[in-house]
Amino acid sequence: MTVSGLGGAVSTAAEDNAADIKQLVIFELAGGIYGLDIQSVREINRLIDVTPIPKAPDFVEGIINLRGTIIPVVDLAMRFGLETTARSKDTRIVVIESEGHTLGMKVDEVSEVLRIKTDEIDEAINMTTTGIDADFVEGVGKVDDRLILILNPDKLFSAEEHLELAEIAVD
Amino acid sequence: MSVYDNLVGMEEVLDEFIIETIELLEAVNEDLVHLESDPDEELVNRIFRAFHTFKGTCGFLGFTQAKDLAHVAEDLLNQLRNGKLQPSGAIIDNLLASSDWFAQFINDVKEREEKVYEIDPLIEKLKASMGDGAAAEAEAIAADGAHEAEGEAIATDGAPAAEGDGTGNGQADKNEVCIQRLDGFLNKIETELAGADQQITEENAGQLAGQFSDLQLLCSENQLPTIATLMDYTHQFLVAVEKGKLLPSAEGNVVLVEVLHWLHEVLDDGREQAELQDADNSTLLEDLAALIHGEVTSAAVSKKQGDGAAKGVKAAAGGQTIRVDMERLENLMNLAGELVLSRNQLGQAYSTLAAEKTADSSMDNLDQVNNSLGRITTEIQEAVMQMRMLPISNVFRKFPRVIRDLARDKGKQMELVLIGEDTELDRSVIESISDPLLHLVRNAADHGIETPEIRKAMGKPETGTITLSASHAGNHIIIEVSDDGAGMDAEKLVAKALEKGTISSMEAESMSYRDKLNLIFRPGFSTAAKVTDVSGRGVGMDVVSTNIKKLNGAIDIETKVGQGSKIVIKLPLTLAIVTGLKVAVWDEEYIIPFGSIIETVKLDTSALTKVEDKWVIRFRESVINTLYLDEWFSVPVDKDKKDQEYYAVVVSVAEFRYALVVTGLNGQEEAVIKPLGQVLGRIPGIAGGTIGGDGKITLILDVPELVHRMGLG
Repeated sequence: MTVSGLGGAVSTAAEDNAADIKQLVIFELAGGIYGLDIQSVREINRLIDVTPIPKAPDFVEGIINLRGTIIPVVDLAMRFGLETTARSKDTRIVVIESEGHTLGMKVDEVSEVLRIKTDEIDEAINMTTTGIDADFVEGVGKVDDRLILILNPDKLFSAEEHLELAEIAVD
Repeated sequence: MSVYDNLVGMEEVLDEFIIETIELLEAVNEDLVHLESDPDEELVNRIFRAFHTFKGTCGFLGFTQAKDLAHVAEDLLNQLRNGKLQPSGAIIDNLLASSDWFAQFINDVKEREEKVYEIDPLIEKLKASMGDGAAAEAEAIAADGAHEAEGEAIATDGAPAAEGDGTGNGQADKNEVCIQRLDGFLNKIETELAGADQQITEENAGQLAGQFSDLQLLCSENQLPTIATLMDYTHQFLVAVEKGKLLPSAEGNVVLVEVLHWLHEVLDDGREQAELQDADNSTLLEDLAALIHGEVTSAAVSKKQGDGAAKGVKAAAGGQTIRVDMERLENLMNLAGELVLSRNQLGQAYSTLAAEKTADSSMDNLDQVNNSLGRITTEIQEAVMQMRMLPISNVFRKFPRVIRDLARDKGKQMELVLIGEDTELDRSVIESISDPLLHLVRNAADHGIETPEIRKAMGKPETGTITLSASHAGNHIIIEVSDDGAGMDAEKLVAKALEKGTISSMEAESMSYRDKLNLIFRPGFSTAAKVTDVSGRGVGMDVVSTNIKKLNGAIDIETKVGQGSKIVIKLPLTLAIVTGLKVAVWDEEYIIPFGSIIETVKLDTSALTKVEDKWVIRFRESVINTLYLDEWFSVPVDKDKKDQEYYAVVVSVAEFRYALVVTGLNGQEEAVIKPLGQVLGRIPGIAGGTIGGDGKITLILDVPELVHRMGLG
């Protein structure tokens, strides 16, 4: 893996290169492969003590203590309506920034950080095959015959969840 | 063009003006009420100075109407000061009305609203008060000599009584008197200065300021407005030095000497031409303005010497204070909270390490550091908390005025006794408690205290007493509002509630004595036959109850028919840190804030009965609603464990009581409340979480919300 695009004194070619390349954090969820732009990922943690919250929506796994701040953790598989896998030693919490809020997502495994050329990402895809609401899928990347669903962190908890969460907040 | 257009870039000055005026108004209200019962010279002086300051600053900022009103009020006060008038009820009324007007005005300034106010009636009233005085004054003058009479009469702004006194050679006489008096003042001031090596000091500034204030008055009385303005500026400058807002400086001394010098010139001219001419000296005016302005702009962090404006505020006793943005304090508070958590975690880590390692000198060192860090952290936290604390006198001080107005209004006689004004509590609590207390005090005065005739007939003293007291009890503050009035009749309350349809007759039968009294907190329940402007402000006792609930507080009523009522409010000292009871619900733990807890009992499950789908328990003669927390929170229950013990935590939400059933009581916990993250919004029944020493999160119950949710509240 090259480190082009880092630092200011790189060649024009390298800059072009950087604009064309996206770094993705790749993780697994119920057998599928997903990617998130590394820009929106704050850190990746092992599954530590999660305190369950009574009366919270189903997809809310609970809350964790992230160095003195309490952040919610969602079960991403549950959010996507996928089968939830039992916790294992590979289970991770991916801490992201979504619409200015910090939250954790429970995923089955984080495998790697992948560099992908933007022209290898197909943004207009037919979602019927994926079974996932197209709204929070930014596009599909294709690397070595693997298909990666690239998620849009800002859209992950929009629409219905916001409605559901708003209901909690109001009454 | 708006008056605010001229003030662009002076927001700081304007904000400072707002804060200062609000503070002064509070003191004025208090002083005026005092003054009525105790005509004290110092009180009059203080009120006079306040209005004088209003006049000056409002003029400076371009609020003409406010300046005009302050001016008339100041004139009236000046007559009180000279002993030409006595503070009658009517005069106090008018002055209080002026103070109210200013409060309204300041509110508008806060919103940057410019209005044209209807102030003429008020000004007329103030002038009319003076009119009385002017007549009395005329008598006094007869003995005193005609010269003085003329001068003072003009001061009353052409009040009718004075007009007739004008004589043919009045003008010349007036000049003569004025010149003499000016000369007299100059002499006094110069002697004063000579005694202090021509230096202005914090000690002599007050004296000097007073003389310039009198000079200003003298000048405006004699139609020398421009000179008067200069005198006013000099006065303001000196007051700033007296209060320690400005340090005595060489520049200040020079300017003062120049002012005096210039005044001599004016005087000499006046003598030559046998007529004092109004004269302008813009250079001096600018110099003074620059001096004063230097004070105003730095006032945001100014060291303020307590000027004793508010009796009873103990901080005023020479203490130096600094104003800090609430947000910064809030931030500091959060950081202190973090520090506490980290300290706890370090402690935990140390214990683990100590258990594994054998003791050696490095471990001893670590132990010491750990201990001292712990101590310092606790102290920092306490110090930060302390900073947010304000004495409850901030709320109490407005009540004497309320009682006074009500007494006059209703033809009642009553006295307000304040106890424990120094009791401190968190600023946020102070803010939220103010309105409920106001309502309770009004209620006591309006519904509690009887008219003097009735009281006499009942063999009570004609003057009713309302007592407002505050005291600390552990981590709580207890506020009591009591009166020796009519008291409440529980049966009458029930009858009333039935009549209004607030309760059904079935409900009425099952009500305990407490429940019956608590009816007054129901929405739409008011025992006052007619809606007065006292109780008719749209704030009912139900709002009191709601506010107390929001603060995690509890209310209790004690009353005896014919002897009076007492309403007891229990509040947490602060909202940021909760002291609570850690309870176990099977394998999970929750914290219930102590503020809500009445008591805990070991539960005899056979005492529970189900009424219409809900569990209830008989507790101290009341039937109270009961909630199994495990059911409510869907906590996994260990069904096999047959002999599980249960405890009931009896909580109070405002005036209602509930029992929360838990499986264990795990001791006291001091918790810094943290939000659960915005994504989750608010989870019903959970106030937030706290991070324990082991890094684990424990949820803190929001008891009022919880009972509301379970359909009981």
